[in-house]
Amino acid sequence: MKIRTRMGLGAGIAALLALTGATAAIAADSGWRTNTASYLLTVDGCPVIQSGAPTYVSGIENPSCSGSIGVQAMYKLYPGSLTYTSSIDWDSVFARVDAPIVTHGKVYH
Amino acid sequence: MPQRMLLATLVAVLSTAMMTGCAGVPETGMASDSVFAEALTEAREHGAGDAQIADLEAAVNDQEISIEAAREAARRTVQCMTDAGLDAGYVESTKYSGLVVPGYQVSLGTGGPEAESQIHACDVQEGFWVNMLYQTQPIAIQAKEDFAQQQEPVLRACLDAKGIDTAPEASGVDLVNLSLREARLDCLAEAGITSW
Repeated sequence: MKIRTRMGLGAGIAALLALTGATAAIAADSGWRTNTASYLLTVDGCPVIQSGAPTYVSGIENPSCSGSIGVQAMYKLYPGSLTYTSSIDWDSVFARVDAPIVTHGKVYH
Repeated sequence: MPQRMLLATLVAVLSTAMMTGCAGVPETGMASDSVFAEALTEAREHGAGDAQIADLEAAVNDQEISIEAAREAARRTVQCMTDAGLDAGYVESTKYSGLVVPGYQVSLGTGGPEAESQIHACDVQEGFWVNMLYQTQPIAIQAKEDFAQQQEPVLRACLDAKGIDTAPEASGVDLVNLSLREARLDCLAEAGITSW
């Protein structure tokens, strides 16, 4: 749901993919992915990166895409606790959900 | 790989990925009325419930999703999950821009994939498009742009410290975009901008 003009960015995907170890994939939506790696995904036709750390998961989209990006987290409150799912946090270019122990993330576009 | 380097690399990957092109409307964006109408169309096509459709129809007329509508949508979503036997609760969070965001947290319990499927179904039925529009509508964007403008000195100082030239006339929003182009998400974080 893009409603503001965005600025384009710049260039060199293969080398950077090798650097990040991100896994290229084509998907209608990201599905749940473990929060221990970074992923280069295509969601709704838009390249997005899902990445995270133990206490958050984030998604950032190609700024040339129309549409918003949403991120949802699956998390634990403490080690061994039940697993919870958050609602979706939306923004224009990158979004992030913080939680105590994020185990999985899901990106929407 | 250190986190900042990873973030910088990730942004650079996306910068590069734009060269591959992507579907949808290009950079010129779309009018806000189209945003509301498009969400309504998508919601109808994907099985949104009557209450959510009514909210979206009102949004098309009003060109806005109110916090009350967003709260009701989140509460309906929680009720749907509860009715399905899930342990769900209503929560609110506040973005750096000051936007209060209604939402939920729900336990998967021992339900596994079935619980995940039910959670998604309830979200789609009761709140998905209302929630998305609420967080990305013009007034929400204005709030974060206002915050970016307030943080213009912080952004500028951080970028300058990193050796990145900033135009004297650059606004806070310009500096956010520059930070994104230069993969300086750490400068955004320093300014308290945790999403954009």
